[in-house]
Amino acid sequence: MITPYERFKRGWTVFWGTTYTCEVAPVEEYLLSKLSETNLSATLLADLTCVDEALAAVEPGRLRRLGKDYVLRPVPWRSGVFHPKTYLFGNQHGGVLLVGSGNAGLSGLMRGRELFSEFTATSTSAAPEIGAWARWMEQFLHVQGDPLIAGRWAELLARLPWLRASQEGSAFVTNWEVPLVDQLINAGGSAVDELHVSAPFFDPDVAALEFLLEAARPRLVHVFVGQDAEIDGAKLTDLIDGAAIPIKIFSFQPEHFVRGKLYALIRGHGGVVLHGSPNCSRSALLRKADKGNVEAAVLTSGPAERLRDLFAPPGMSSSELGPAAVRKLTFSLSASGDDERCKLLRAELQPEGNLSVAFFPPSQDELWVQPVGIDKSLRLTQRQVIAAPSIGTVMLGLTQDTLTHDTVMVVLVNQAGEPISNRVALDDPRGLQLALRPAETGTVADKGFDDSDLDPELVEVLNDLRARCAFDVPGAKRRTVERAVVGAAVGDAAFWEGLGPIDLKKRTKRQVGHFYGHIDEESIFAQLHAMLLEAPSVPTLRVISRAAETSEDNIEEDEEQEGRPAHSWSDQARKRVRVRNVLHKWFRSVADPQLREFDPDLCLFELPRDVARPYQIVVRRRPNEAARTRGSRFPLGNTLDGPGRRAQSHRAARRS
Amino acid sequence: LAADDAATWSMAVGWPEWLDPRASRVKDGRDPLALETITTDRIVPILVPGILALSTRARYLSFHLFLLDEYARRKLPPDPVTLGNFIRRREFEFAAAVLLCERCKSRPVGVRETEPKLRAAGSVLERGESVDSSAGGYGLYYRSPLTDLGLVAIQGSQMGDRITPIDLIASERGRQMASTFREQIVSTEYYRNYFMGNDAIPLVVLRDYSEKCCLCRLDESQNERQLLYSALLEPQDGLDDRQVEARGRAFGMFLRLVDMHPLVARSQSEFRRATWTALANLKEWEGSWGRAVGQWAALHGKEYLQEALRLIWAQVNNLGRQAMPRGGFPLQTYMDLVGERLILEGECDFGLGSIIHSRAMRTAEFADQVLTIGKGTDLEDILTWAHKCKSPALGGISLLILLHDRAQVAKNAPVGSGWRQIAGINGAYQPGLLSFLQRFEQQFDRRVDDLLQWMVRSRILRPHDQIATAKLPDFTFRFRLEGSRLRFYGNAGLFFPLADSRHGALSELSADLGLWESLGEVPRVTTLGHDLIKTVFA
Repeated sequence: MITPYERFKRGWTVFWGTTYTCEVAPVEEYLLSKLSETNLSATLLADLTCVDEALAAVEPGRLRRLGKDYVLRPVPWRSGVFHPKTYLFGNQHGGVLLVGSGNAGLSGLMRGRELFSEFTATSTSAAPEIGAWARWMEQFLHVQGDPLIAGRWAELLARLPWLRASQEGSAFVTNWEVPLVDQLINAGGSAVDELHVSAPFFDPDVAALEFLLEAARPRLVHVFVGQDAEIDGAKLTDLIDGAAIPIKIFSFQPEHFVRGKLYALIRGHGGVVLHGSPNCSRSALLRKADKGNVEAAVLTSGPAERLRDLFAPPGMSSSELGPAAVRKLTFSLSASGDDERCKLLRAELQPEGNLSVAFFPPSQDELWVQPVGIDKSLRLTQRQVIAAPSIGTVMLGLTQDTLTHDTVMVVLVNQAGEPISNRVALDDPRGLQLALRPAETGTVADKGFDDSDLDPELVEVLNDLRARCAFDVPGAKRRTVERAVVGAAVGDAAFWEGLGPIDLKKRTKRQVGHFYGHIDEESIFAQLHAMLLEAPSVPTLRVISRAAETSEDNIEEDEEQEGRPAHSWSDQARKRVRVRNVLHKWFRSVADPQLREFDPDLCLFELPRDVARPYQIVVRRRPNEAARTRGSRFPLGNTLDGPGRRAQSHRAARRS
Repeated sequence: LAADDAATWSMAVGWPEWLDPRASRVKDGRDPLALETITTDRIVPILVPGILALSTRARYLSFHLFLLDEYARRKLPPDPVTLGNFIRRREFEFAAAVLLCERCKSRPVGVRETEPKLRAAGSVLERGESVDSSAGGYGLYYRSPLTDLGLVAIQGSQMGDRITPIDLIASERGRQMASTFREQIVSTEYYRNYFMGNDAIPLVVLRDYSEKCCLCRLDESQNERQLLYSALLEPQDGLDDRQVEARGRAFGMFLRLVDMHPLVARSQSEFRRATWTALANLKEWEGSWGRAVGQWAALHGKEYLQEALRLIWAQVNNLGRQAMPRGGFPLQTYMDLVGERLILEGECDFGLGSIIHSRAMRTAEFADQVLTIGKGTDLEDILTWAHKCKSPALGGISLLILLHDRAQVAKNAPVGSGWRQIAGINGAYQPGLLSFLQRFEQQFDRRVDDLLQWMVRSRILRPHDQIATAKLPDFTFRFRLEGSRLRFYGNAGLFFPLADSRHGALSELSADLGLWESLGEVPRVTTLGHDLIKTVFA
């Protein structure tokens, strides 16, 4: 058995996935959070319609990292859907490729009845399936014509030199050039002894299954269905009645939705099996990608008994359905009509703050880009039409106005403000670029400081804050680092001879526990807390957790985990990192779009995008209200310093 | 498929594997709305630092110091495993002695393990252990308070140029406390002949031991009690004065409320009621009393908020479980259902009156009815009304409306006041009392169903989805968004209690310290207790 979610772990510098649906919140908050937070290239391609539905269901404020740390790119596919479920994890030393039936999310990677194959690579050799996957992805990206994704792919290739492996003998198959059913029949032959099929979705007229029967000409057919399988019992009965061979239908017990898809051809003592993304439908199984879905699978072989065993998910058995039960099977999906809406492919934040978008079909109507959750929309002015291989023509547009509020997703709207497109994540190419860098240089605040900026008193305050407060509460690390009792004379009876006084003042926070009362009683914390109270609902200031207390240890530990020696930081570097961390966390907290959810009118924050002035935070009551009329302009340096330290702080602010 | 010889077939590269269904453990999960954690992790450590929910008996502090001292005096192996074994055995014998006490009915740490063994014992008790944890009840309940009180230095502390390999008494005061306990039991047969060793202990020896060591005998050991009082409530070099001050304020507040409303000593409910009565009568926010009342009223206000949301949570789950279609709900479909099913047109009893309701009613109109019915009734009784309301969602909304109304007395509490300090504490996934009430108030112009949908979406659905996601890979979801569909799961329990706000600890510790006593059945603050009140609120 396999546990795909456990492949999400620190140490990888690349994650590249393809999926049909995407559970955006758990993907971001759980799966991607298990990967490194910096020096990571994470990209997920998912079907455009599914991305739209998923983004519509999640509250935009919840997604903190989307478009900033990773890319979720919707894929439009005119002849069908984008359906492959493949996940690549890697670093320069090697990697893992998963190919299977599970979509990106808890259902697909953790809890569902799903099937996967795993292929591995080292720095010197990679499974041919990985080479074949890379070749397929290149072909796919070529027709997509998406500059940002193409750039990330190039970055990925640079990070994973082993990716260009030979694909000879690969078991990885797609329908890019040849329909999957042809590849299956080609490998398994015709006139086989047995055909076994398990899938959750069939055609309304069971056409693909019928085609399989004709092509494989088996002597015996077993079809397995789980709970809620979409298959028309009447049509299936017709097929059974009209066939010259025995067709038996089995249902999995206990009842559970089974998403794993399996197609096995058996002859004698062995056979072949195809598994992966394709359902038993025309678009998935019988057609090439340019006429159907985009699908990916694995075609392999094995002993007959083991092939038959595959059709029993762990903890489940199967029982044959009688004719009456077969007739009761239903196909309830209604044919989805053509989506007439404009297809918004991507939206990117430009360095000046305006937005660029790409969509099709081209339109000369007046259009606006609407940040989801924010009233103000931005008019599209500059437009041009370009050719895109898989789509035809795509219109590019640029807003004249700049985005004034942090936002996670956007949609196109017409003059009346009505949405006319799907939603997409707003990508921040600059943030994404920074996320690719190692931790030491990975965040914006770094650029705002050099050693001359480090006012000692400011550093003192920041160190204090850094040591005692966590600003990004939900994102705070919860890992614990066990400290070794270095130098302890465990078990040594001679210890008692030299007992001396214990200095209570030297006890660490871990040893004395934590007292949270200081937060409002010290002027620094009182001021920060007052700011937070006035502004957001969450997060609040709080003392850093016991686990997070040793965050600097964590950094060094991470490096060790990656096989590098622990880094010895200079005092200056350590101070700089602390300053950066405090301000970075502060920025992220007050700029957090989640805060807006509590009260769209009341809690709007505008951070200067000029990262060279990190002391300035502007808090506005309402979006259109000028900041200075409220008098709510908080120079962060002053706030941190408190009374009596302003002069130094101002000097530091001027310098930076 | 040319080969037809069984021996030639093997599983080739890429053989598929099913997902391991055991990988995600399904658990009930505590605190499904991330509300208890605000009390436990953020508020209580400010209000009552150094006191845990189960560190409720004062004499356990000196007993455990005594054990550490004995361990050191006997120069037993300085390793934590041996120390843990030593403590667990002595705790078992101590628990047996407490259970044999004829003066009280105290329930010692490890009572569940000890009681049956004691009952099964004839005339002697075989040696044993009562708490299945590496350092016994000491490690679970008392090590942390003893450390916070500066009495114990835990393993890994700095001692000169060395690091301590085990927990040690850290201060002279700690050693004195150990000595005072020893003085009480030094003459017992138990201490002289059974404290070490493996022989079974005659029950008569344990009874004799109980007459000296029992939790209830602290009043016969005045020096020990004085030292305990001092450790908990008096400043000490090396400790944070603010912690001592905060503890003093908590004990002082509790005792003053007991003095005004004696039932506060025994009832958490009465404690909440008295706190809010004190808030309503508060004259000024300045000073120790104003700070204490503001802090505790804010904590209890947050608990009323939690109960209101819990009522709505339960109905929201039940609705989802009963009405979920195949494949789950589109989110908007479910939200529409919430508006339609949870607020029907009609009339429901609420306390001494009834409320006419319909989904299209303005919240302000609904609130007027609730305020009229609730006039003159305190929040504790209103909580009971809400629990009894046939429509839990309406009961919850009504409780919130009255909580918002009663909280108006603190509307002008200044920044830095106890009220604003505690009511302003937010959680990672839920707002605190101030933030919630501020936003709740802004919904009054909307329809009642809009208000409910707002609360369900922002305070039920999203926080639960987030907190359960944070607990992965344990699967604690009662519902979650699977892509674009909202899916409800199983029949896991929907009740979750209020977090411990240390009422039990404050009550028992202060009784042990002689700060209040029972006169007949009526709790009464003692002279010592009044002295503490005067000191704290001077």
